Amino acid sequence: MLVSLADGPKHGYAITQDIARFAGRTLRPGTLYGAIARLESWGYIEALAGDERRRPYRITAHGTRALKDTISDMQRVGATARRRLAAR
Amino acid sequence: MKHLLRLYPRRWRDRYGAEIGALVARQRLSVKGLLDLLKGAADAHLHPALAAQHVFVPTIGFRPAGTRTLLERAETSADDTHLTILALAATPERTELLVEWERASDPAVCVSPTESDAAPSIEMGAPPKRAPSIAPPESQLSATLSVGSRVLESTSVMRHSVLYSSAGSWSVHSMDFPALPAGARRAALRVSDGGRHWTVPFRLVPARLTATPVTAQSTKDDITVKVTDLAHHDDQLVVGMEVSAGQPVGRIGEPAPAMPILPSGRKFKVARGAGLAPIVLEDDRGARREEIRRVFALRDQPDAHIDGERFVQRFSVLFDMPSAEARSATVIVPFVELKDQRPSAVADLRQLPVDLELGEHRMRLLSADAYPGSDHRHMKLVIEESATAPRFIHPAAVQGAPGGSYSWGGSPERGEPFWMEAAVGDPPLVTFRGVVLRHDGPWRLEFPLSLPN
Repeated sequence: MLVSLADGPKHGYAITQDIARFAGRTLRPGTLYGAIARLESWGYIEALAGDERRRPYRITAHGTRALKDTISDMQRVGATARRRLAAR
Repeated sequence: MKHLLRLYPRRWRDRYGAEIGALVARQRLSVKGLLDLLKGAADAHLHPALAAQHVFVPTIGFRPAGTRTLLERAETSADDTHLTILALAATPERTELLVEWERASDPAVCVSPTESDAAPSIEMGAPPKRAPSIAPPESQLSATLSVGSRVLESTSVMRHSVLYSSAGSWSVHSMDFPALPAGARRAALRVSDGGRHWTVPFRLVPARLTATPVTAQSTKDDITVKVTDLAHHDDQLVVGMEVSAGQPVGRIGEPAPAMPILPSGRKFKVARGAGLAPIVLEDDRGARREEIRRVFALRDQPDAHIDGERFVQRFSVLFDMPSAEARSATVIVPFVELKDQRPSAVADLRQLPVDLELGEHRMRLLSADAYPGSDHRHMKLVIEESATAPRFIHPAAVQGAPGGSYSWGGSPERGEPFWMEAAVGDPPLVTFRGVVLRHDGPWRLEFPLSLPN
């Protein structure tokens, strides 16, 4: 979800469409809003003013930091995995 | 669909229900989708704090959901000094701590009134207390937070309260730091005072006193008063409030004097008398309760700030809990004082008494007594009663020597003469700047008493 919001604010439906495009997974409403609530409570995303049925969310500076940290961790793990697999 | 949404907690439905409904309307709800919603409803009941926008951190105030706080009391003792972390709020933006010092007396150390006057008061608008004659319990304070291998330097350290006795001294500092790493569960505060150091390890947990958002507001004289949050803590109702105006906001009603932060385990007599005008809570059962105490911003941000052209002050008011039968309540704010910082007047302290005009407001400077061995002068003033509203209460500030501090006190409403003190140079000229104007209310804000379980 943070990756989806990294290129600009989106409402719930736009987030599910975007994630389906780049991740190949469709988030259902219960899962989507469970994740939105958690990310909001952690201060990683925030709601913008708008129609309460199509409220847009944006990533915060704190969320951007967390996303960068996570990507950095994933890259390190990925590089280690590639090195070890190449040695087999 | 509506039946399914009813399985979610009410706060969750209020916050996300319309969005979930709109999303389901666009996607065909399959059996897997139905199960997903059921799972989501169970998750929402298991984690009710997730739908909260704010949490209440005792002694600090309302902060964003996701704020972490202390798991348990954290303290240490060394070098005749006892350090306790009284409260902590780790938000995604910053980390706020309140730290209590208790130190055995060191009679060899003294400070001048000028140094100790620089200590600000935590109570917004409250006059600083007269300078103590002995030293504060610390001098060259610095603080860091360490989380694993990371060290965060404090962005500010400020003393708020100080008490002295023959046995020793006590004070409370607020300390601000950058945000802690998101996943941190343990950290340590390291405080250095000159060559001495203390380390207080602590553990973090999510703040659990979830707030109920409230939308109630009242505007009069271009002053808007809002009730924004409610929380329930220690059999008390905590009401989050916000006052905004086109000029800096000063006192908001006049509560009974109370120590803003109580030393651990100590009790103080609360003086009650004429001239008080506390914020009041009336419930729909006819019960009336005066505020017990307030929790103000510890620093200028984020509770006091300028939003566009409006000055905003946020604070929390604590009342005894209304009865369980009460369904709604009304908060009544008696008056709000604003500071008009434009008018100024210069007085020569060699020519007293003198009549002065601050814009359309008048006052008489009666005397300016010198303290032996100090450049401070104690000035007595008579404030002329305003013919029209808002009422002139007192000058906002006074400056004598460049960069000098000032203080004020006394309440003509309670029969006490009004005074101001300032460091004065040569020639003994002082400049009175700005006026504090009182706008009488009341502002009445009614809201439902629905609290989180």
